[in-house]
Amino acid sequence: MEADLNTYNILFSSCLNKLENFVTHVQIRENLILALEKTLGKVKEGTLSPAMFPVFLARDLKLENQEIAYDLAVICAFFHTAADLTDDIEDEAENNLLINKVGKSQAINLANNLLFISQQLIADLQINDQNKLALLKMFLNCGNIMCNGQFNDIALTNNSNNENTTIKEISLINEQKAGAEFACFVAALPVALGIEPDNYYKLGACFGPLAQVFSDYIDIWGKRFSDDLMVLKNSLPVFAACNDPVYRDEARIFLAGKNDLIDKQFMLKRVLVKTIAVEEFENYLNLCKSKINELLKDLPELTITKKEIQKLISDSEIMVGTLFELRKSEAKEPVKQILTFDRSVNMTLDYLKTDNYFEDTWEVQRWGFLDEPKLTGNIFPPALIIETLLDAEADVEALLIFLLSLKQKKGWHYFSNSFKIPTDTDDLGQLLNLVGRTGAFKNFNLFKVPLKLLELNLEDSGKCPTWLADQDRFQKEEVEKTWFGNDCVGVMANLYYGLSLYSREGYKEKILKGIHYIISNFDYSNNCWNGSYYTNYYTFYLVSRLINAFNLEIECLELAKTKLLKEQKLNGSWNNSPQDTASVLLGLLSFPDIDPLILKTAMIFIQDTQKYDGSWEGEDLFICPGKDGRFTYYKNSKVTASLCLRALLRGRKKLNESEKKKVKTLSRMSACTIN
Amino acid sequence: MESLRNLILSLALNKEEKIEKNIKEEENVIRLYQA
Repeated sequence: MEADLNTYNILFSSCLNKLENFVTHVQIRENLILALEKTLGKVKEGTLSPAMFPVFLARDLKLENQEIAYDLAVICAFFHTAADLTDDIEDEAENNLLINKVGKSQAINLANNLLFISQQLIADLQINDQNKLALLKMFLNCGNIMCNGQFNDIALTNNSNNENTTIKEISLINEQKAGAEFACFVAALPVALGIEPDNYYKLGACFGPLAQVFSDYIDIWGKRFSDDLMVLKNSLPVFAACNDPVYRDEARIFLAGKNDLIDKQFMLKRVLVKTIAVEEFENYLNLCKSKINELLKDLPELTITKKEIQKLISDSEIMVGTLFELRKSEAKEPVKQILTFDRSVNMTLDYLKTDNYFEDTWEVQRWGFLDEPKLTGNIFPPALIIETLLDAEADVEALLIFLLSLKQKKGWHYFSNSFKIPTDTDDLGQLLNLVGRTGAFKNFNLFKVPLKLLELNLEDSGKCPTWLADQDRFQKEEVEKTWFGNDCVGVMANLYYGLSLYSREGYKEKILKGIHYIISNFDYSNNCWNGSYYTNYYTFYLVSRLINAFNLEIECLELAKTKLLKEQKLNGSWNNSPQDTASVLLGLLSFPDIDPLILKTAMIFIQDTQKYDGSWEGEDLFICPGKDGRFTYYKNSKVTASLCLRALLRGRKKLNESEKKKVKTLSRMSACTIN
Repeated sequence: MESLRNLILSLALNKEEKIEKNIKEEENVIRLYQA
């Protein structure tokens, strides 16, 4: 340990010397020192830094002049610190002192700076040119492989539910990242001296991934609070647990939602230890052990390097043994998570109480759009919330009367206090939906004129424009030219669905034509529908509920569904967004069947992201006019909350139904046994 | 390394005690293993 500390001091002061030479700007130098302290500081605590390999090897090989070893260690230290800092920036690490001090943009710049210094130091080495070139090539190749590894790592974390991923790919990422780096650092001295580096390289390539895997397990079981669990990094233990043949569902349900509480992480240690995460570590360790032993046979006696390797292997053995021990002690005490969403539902219902017709959700334009001092969009957002309240069997009569009372001569205008915009099919569809579902006011002939106007606007292809042209004020050609988004599949799907609830038989032919038009607008290159107004997630919901209301089997809808199923993240969400998650889930719930695991994990995410007052952060839902003619998005926490609540209510209903089915099947089975 | 074993077991088993009792031990081990 003392010797290591001495090595560390020499290495660190050598790094500082180089900085003095290369960086004159005091502030930049201070920041680079902060970055180096993070990676090299570990040595002070007794942990191995991979940058030390050239020094260990120089001692093992009994080199007379150890100066070259320190020069190489400094190069490794700069290179490693550059990679470490980049990794922290890309992982959005919260506890990196330098990033917190200077911000991401400067941190990226400083990481590049460290990398260029390492390359400059290679150029300045006092070794023969051939070896220098070989060394430079090796570092460049290593950096190249590490970047590929990082690409795969980020892609995997963002796309964690992809069932095509295998444990081999997780291992490959470790080989590309820690493997390539350790290999390069272990082989650095042999390459610089012109010694055949092949076996040294292979030794590092084997040692690095093992060190990474060990650190992934320590992160979960050796810390009270695991950063990897919080961000759901797809490390070997997490991936293995999620693919366990027996405990897969339990592990995934536990991992879903937020993992930022100590109590939840405490339970996760117990849940994950039951899974093949432990066996996978054991297998990996055994594989590495035999590879390392083979390689060491073909190398000279490397006392110090070998000691470091042995330490990691024996600590890994202790880790595996302890995890098996922990599993046994847990056998009698299974952990169960009870899934009720009642409290979350009740909180939202209370949050959505209103005595002013949801005035806080109205889209009010005050900047002079259409030369009007104030435009009030007070129909559509409240109508979305009322649709959810119907699911909760709340009394919505007064709210509905208010919305219907905003009708003008031709129907409902999005901004109810202005005639400058034609009436639109989105408002119409949403109101038809509410009136169709409640059956209220159906006989009042409220929809007679608007529906007639709609029929005049429906095209033979099934296309339904967003803006309804009429004979006098809004001519068709003018509308096409003037108004944005006249051809939006989301709006069409909403309209046809509303029509189906209002009078399914009366409009069946027109609705089926509409569905045909929507299908013909499917984007096969991205397997989705691109609406003009809504996000693709919400459009998926609008289209799938329409098509599924008619029990049609449509190939492109299946393609869209399959694509989205693959995109669900380990935390249960889509896009880490409560509103997008609710939208996709509502779409999936419109199909006859849904995988209960997908349903539960998505509901857990929605529930966990709810705020203490029952709300969710408002999220972009549809395009609306911004200031000075720019476009922006309408977002509102009550509207977002209503979509989340709708997903929870329908999800809960589905869960209850499948529970009932299970009980029925069980009682039938026991009846058979008795008979 | 006995302390690694103890740490893993106590962090996963002794929920109530862990905050008081194991903080020091955990800090030591984390320092040793942080990647």
